[in-house]
Amino acid sequence: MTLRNINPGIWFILPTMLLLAALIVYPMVSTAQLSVTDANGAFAGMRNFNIAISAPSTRLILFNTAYYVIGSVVFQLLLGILAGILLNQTFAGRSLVRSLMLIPWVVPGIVAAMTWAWMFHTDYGIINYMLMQVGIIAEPIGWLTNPNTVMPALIAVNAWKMFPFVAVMVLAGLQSVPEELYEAVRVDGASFWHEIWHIMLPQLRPVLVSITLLLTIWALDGITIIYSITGGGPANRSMIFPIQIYVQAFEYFEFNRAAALSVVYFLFICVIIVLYMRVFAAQEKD
Amino acid sequence: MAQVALNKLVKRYGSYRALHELDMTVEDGEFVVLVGPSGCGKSTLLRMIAGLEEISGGTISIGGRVVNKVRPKERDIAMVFQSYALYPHMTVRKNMSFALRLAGKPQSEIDTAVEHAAAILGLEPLLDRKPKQLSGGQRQRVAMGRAIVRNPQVFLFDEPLSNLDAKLRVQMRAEIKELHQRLGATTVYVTHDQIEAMTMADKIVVMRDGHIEQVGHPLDLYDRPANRFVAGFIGSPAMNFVAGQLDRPEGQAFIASDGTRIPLPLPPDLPKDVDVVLAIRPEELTIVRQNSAMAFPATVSVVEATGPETVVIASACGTRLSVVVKERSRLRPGEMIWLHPQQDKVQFFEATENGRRLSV
Repeated sequence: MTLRNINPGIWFILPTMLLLAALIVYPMVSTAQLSVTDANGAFAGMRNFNIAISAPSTRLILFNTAYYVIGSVVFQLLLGILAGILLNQTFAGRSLVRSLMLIPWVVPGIVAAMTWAWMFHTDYGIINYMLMQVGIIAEPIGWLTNPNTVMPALIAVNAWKMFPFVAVMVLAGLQSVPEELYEAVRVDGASFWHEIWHIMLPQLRPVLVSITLLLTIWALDGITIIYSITGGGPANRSMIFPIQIYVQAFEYFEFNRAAALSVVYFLFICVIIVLYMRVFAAQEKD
Repeated sequence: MAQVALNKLVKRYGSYRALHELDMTVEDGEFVVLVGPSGCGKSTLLRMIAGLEEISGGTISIGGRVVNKVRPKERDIAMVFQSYALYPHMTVRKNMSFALRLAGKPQSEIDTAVEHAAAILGLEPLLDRKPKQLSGGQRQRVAMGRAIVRNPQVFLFDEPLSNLDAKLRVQMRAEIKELHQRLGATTVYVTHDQIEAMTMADKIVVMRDGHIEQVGHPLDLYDRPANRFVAGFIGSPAMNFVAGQLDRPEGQAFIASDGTRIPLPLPPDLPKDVDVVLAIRPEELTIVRQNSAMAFPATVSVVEATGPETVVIASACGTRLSVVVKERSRLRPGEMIWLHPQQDKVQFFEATENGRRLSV
């Protein structure tokens, strides 16, 4: 085969393919290799995996990760859909509210995290101050130090941070719904609630399916908020997989065990995404 | 079924007046077509009857009840939209039963109503399909089915055929007409297509710029248009207009603006001292090969054979006149002919843009 016989399309995608190979395929192969070798580079079989999986904290971390991802995605979707529907209504000052709503999403993650860390502070935080002023709580709650409140607090921050993204996508989706559909249901006797249930949500379905996948992926690798607010504490109660991997690698310098954890986590995410695609992509077809 | 009455109905958008004090009545069981060029306010009027647009002034009553403040769902109307507005995620059956389900009707009643409507419209084999699996004509039928199922007092149609191809449009036109004859429901139908208006209506309402120009039976509008606008809007090919003057004092001819003399007895009651326009329908002109006392000269420009008839477009009297002849024509462009108007059909209008009809 001479150069001329090669499908010209190959030449167009070659630069991208090379770049992807360097930035994605090489690190993946390298991680896989690290996960089955020891610190000296000698083949170690499944030993790293055994250590990583049998560690007592692994089960808690897995639970935390699922808790964080599910909690975040559910509240991001709920808040975002609600905001998107409200911002699609006509009212005075709508464009202003639409712009203001974007602030949480636009603020850099680390800034939002530090601000919320202060707001949640047990002694000086504005949240405890306000709740005590109103009389809802009698004494300060250690939001970020109490094992039972730390995950809900972090989920709240993540939901606050990402809901504007959902709202923007929902708003865009709603604006592509033909006006005549709303009019038809109104003539058919629908209330506003019926409009949401029978027109808006079904019409938003494709959008929601895609953004749920995105939100899940982002929550699965969301390090910024938790790492900068709690670092995974107290006592691993807010430790999630990506942070554990980071800590193993760059704080304990256990690169091989971190690599093994990465591979496990990678497979875990693959399973979730394949299941998701099976369920929703199949429903999309009919 | 019910009467729909408009009383001094006004629609304003800010300072812009879209509808000017309209008065009109749709009798019980009547098929009324609102027709006019785009932007005339016909769709706005229909949407006000449906309750989808607010009323700025005057009243709308349905079945004797003023509905200005009544929500669409409580007006007992059904509407067929231009885009059909079928619910894309619901099957045909669900689309048709949606209103009844919202109203909390018992399932047996819903099933009966849907099956009855499906039988009328031939939709039985399609009941479990989704809208995107249907052709344009089928969607149109489902939209009508959705309206029929509710057994409303008034049917509203907003340009329902404009998304269909020409052949299907003719077929659905007949189906809608047939449906109306069968159900006898009060119907208000909006279109910009005057042929649809002519063929379907019991009564046509011609609108322009937010005003009602004329209301009447299709053939009355055709034969006795109230003004130049209606005369030009109703009929295809459009009515011919020739600007010029009455030949006073003889009163035996009309002198076109280019000087062509059209011999005809002028009606004695035509007002003097006003500029007039002579109007004649294309089928009321006859082509003759030789000059005669009652004809005027013309030159053939275009010959359009449609099969059953031939449209000849001729230059004459400083304008272009269309002539419809039943027989096949061997005329060639550039040929000299004479046109002979049927004298009792000639009408006169004031020469202003929207001039009133004069006499006869």
